[in-house]
Order: sequence, then C-alpha cells, then structure tokens
Amino acid sequence: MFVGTDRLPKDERFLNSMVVTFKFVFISVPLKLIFALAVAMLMNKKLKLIPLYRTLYYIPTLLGGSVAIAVLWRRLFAGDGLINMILTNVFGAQNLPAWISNPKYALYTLILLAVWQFGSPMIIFLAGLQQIPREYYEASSVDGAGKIRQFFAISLPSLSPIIFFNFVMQMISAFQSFTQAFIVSGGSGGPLDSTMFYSLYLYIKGFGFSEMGYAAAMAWVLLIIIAGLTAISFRASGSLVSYGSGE
Amino acid sequence: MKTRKDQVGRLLLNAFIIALGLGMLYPILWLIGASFKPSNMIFTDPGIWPKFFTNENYLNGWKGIGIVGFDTFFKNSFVICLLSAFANAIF
Repeated sequence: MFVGTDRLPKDERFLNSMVVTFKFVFISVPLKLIFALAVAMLMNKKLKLIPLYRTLYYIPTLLGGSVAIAVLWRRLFAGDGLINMILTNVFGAQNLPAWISNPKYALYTLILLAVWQFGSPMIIFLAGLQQIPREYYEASSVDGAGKIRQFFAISLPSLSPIIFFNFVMQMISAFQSFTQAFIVSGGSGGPLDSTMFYSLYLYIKGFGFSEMGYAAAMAWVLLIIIAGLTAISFRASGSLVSYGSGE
Repeated sequence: MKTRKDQVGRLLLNAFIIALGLGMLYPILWLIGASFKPSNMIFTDPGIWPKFFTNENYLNGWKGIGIVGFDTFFKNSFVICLLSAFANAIF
C-alpha cells in the first residue's frame, strides 16, 4: 500500500537530494539574513540619496527569481565565463575551476544566487529598524555605549521577532527552490547530482520518469519536513525572541 | 552644525554604498549591454558597453516563436497580473 513512502529511505538519489537541499537552506538562509540586515543598517542612514539606493538594492530581488537571471548565472560562472575572466584579468588568478560544472562548487553558485536576492528580508528589517525608538540609542550613548554595544544590546534584541519571522519565511521558500537549480543545471541536477534540489528531484521523478505516486509521496514528506522545522523554530524561539513592549 | 569630519564620513559612506551597489548590479548591467550586442559577440566581447550596437535582438525577440509573438505573451501576462493583483487585494 505505502509503496512510495516505503521506497523513499532506500533511494540514494532521494537521500542525496535531501542532503543537498538541507545544505542549501542552512547555508543560504543565514547568509542572506546577515547580508540583508547589514544592508538594511546601511539603508537606515540619513543620506540624501537613500531613496535611490534603496531602489537600486532591490533590483536583484525583482529580477533574481526569473529564468533570465538563472541563464545569466550559468554563463557568469562557466569555465570561460565572466567571473573567471575578471578573476584572471584583474587579479591574475590561474587554473580557475568551471564553477557551474564542478560538483564541488556548483551548489555554492546557487547559494550565491539566493543570497543576491536579499531584498525582501532587507525591506522588512528596514521597517523594523525604523520602529526602534531613538531614545534607546540616545540614552545608551549617554551611558557611554559604543556603536557595537548598541547593535548587540538594542538593535538585535528589538529586531529579534523580525529576524525570526524572516528566518522562517526564507527557510520555507528555500526548501521549495526549484527554478535556479533547474535552469543552471540544465534540468539534470548535475554535475553528479550536486545541485539536485528536493523539488527538482520530485519534478524529475514525476514528469521525467512518470512515477507520479513517488513524486506525490515526496511532496508529502517535504510538507512534513517544513512543518516540523517550522514547529522546532517556534519552540526554540521562545528563549531567543523577545516580544516585550520595551518597558 | 556640520563638522568637516562628518562630511568626510558621509562621502565615504556614499562611496561605499555606490561601490557595493554597482558590484551587485553588475550582472544586470551586463545583461542590458548584452541585449544590444550581435549574438555571436555576446561572449567574445566581455565588457558591458557593446563594441557594435544592434537592435535585431529586440526585433527578432518580439516575433516570438512561430505564429505566436511577444504581444500575445505580454497580453497573457497582463491578464494574469491584473486579475491576481485585484483578487489578492480584495480577499
């Protein structure tokens, strides 16, 4: 009866797709959040051109999910691609690998593509930063706190619910990522299954091998994994996130 | 009152933001440049600014595939976009 679910743990390509996806999620999401927070702090400065900067920094997010950018990424990180050309001509690096077609690095190009689309958590962080009362910073600077101390003692705790929200949302969408891997690997998840994301394997099983039952079982397992991880994050957040009114 | 030190800091901050932004937008700028290059020169001419300008990419692209042109693609996208935006806003 449970043909699909019984076969899952014995399928090595399935287990590999799980490892690849977990690696992708737990490297790309923290990096993306750190970068988004750093840029949000930059965008929170009082400069005349800030509205322009905010727009420019959001552009990668508007375009990043599209097929065109994935195709471009594939060319950028190819052996004779733009990135290697720049590294060779400007920095004089030699014997560079073909990032996309090397199983060691292919996943990291996709992580970079994900981090590059940091715009939506950035906007949410920015809104959060602007809600922190200025008095906190003024009071703490009277008490002699430096910028770094202020960041860890005021900004981070005040932002913790927002960091948590961003983390959960980004984790959920990272587990479902499909387009980038599909386009960059040419639909194969290669080289050597190193970019075989969970949903890509699901797609290949369902539509490539016509094993729709197996694919449906995989979809259920993914739902359970995401629900489980979200529940764990909510549990763990209890001690890390402060919803205090700031009194 | 603005001190000289403030102004220098402001200038450095602006320069840093612009440099980081350009680095991030580089692939997109390159994509715009590449759209004006003749198709056999896209990867042999790595710079952003094309050595030869051509608009045939846009003209050929607009024709789309076979009998269905880009006007149809745009029309379909617009219908979906408008309807889903309205429905999302209401419900």
